[in-house]
Amino acid sequence: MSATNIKRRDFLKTGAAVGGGLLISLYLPEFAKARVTASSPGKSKFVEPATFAPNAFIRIATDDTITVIINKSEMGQGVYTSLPMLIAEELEADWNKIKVESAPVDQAYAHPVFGIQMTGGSTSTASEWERFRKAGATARIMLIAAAAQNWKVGPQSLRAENGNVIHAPSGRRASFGSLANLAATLTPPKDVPLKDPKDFKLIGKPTRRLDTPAKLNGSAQFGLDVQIPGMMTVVILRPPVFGGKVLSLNAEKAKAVAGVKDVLQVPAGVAVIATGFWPAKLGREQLEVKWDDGPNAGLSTAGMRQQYATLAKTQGLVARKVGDPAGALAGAAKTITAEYEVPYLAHAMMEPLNCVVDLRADRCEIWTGTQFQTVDRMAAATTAGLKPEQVQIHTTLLGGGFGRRANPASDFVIEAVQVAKAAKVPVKVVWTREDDIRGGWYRPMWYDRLRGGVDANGNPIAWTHTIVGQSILQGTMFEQFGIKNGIDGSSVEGAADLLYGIANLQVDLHTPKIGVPV
Amino acid sequence: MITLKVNGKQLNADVDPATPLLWVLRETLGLTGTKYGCGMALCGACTVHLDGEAIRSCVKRVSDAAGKEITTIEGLSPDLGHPLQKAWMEIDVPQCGYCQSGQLMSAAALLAENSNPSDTDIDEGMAGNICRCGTYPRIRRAIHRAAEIKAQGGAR
Repeated sequence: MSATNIKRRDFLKTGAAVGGGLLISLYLPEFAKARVTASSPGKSKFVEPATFAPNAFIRIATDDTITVIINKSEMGQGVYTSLPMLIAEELEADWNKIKVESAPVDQAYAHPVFGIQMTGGSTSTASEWERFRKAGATARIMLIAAAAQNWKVGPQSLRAENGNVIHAPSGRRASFGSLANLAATLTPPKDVPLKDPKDFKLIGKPTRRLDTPAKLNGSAQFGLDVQIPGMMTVVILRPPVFGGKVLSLNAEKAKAVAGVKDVLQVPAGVAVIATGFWPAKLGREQLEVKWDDGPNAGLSTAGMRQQYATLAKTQGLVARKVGDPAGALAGAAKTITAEYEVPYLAHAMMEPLNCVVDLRADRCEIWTGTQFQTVDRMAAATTAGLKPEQVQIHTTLLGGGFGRRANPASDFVIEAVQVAKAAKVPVKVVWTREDDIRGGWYRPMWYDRLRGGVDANGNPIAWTHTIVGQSILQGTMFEQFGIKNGIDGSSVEGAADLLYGIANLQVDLHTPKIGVPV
Repeated sequence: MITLKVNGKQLNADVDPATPLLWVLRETLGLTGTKYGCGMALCGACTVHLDGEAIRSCVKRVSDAAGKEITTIEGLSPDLGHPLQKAWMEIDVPQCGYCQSGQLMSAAALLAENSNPSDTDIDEGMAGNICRCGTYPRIRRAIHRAAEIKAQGGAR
């Protein structure tokens, strides 16, 4: 279901926020139950339904604070500022009163185009352009209606400006916060006209980032900074070869390290459960493991390069063909052949991967910097044996994402849930930098062979491009719409849609199956 | 038990003396502003001051920090008032922000030593701090700006 299918009356459902205030919300019954604020892990306080619900884009408190609930992950691209700008613009809010909070996971927070809650593809601001502005405009209209009721004047005689509703003829003004309780009792408007772009005060203007101050004094919370009561820190010894399995394990020396509480075999490898990162790492160094390297034992970069180079000389599945490229090449005055290679690339975010999991019999709470909330929640639920609605993800700030934190396989979330299941205590799984570089889910290695032909005047008349590399969508939930006729669109993006008008052109693709996760 | 002086406060940590200072700051003392990036003094995310000198806390044994003045990002100023913090806000330097604690601590040590650094001084002084978002041009501008603020009497 895409968010555009949400019933309008649901979208506009409003209610009173805890302690008073106006809530412009989406109707989300399943999460009205209980919630922990993402901003204060460890200081969880459960709240009653229909009070402080998480199901909102905007919360206006009686103290004039406006909280914008952001359904996108902040990883440096600025969504914790750009999306509030959309709301503040239409709301006529005082920018200095805006605070942000990360949204819980729910379908109502799904990407308007992709239908799942996620951040990626440079789509956040464009895809939320209308929805966030409408949320702001709705709140403004209701605040004006509240003031109109208070002052017994027509709403058309009022305007909102910088966090206040103003009645110019009488000079009266009321702050949004002072109107919030009354506004919360009113019926949301049917028509929510949006501003003409020429009237924008914030949008299009350089605006200071809301998240900057917290990033200058150490208070910004990334996933790695999360501490919850009773939490153990875990590092995992993963197989030296992708797909390897533990043959035998001797954990005696590891368990003897001060601070190491347990050593557990988990699907990802061997997990060292300790009181902190350092003892966990020291413990891991003491593990004695014999590995079965499995089907990828013989895999090597040299072997793959040779395989790819050979494949590149043969035609793959044709992604695009125009004219007669073979004929045009044969008849060209001059041809040029070039081969290009790029290696596997680790995303290498500054903040190594990490995931905090508190798994209980009937619920699972996760704190992590992810770009893929819906997918990760489904994966965590399946792993934990819970329903998706029993799993909540608190999205922290991300110390970089670059797509590594948008993994359709949810690798770093699944393994953390598996560890929590085995350890039976809340855990924070930390990847070392070495784990990150060795851990797979790379940008694929590519081998490209291009041939071009020019005519006697030097004009390009032929172009062929054979691409060799693994599919990143194969085997994922995105396969069905991302792969057409065996061709992963992301493998030929920028090549099959080449903009140059070359009369004879062919782009074809080989998709070898290699045991390196990409 | 090791006694540390962190941001002007005496704090005790019951840890293995070989534990890197980084993990004692982050996990034992709860000062999570200092970041882990590589564990090998290669990225600068863990930079703190030891007696005013910028050091990589991920490779500094906690026992070697005992008795010295340790300053972390949390102690750079009580109120975002350090000239660097002011300049960083003015220029909106951070993106993801993960490396910025380390950037600021390195910049603070640089500025303490050289109140008017040139581009070359900045590039050299900051070379050990990696930013994956690529905020380097703004970092450089902000250090120049901080030098101005400091010269105008904004220093503490």
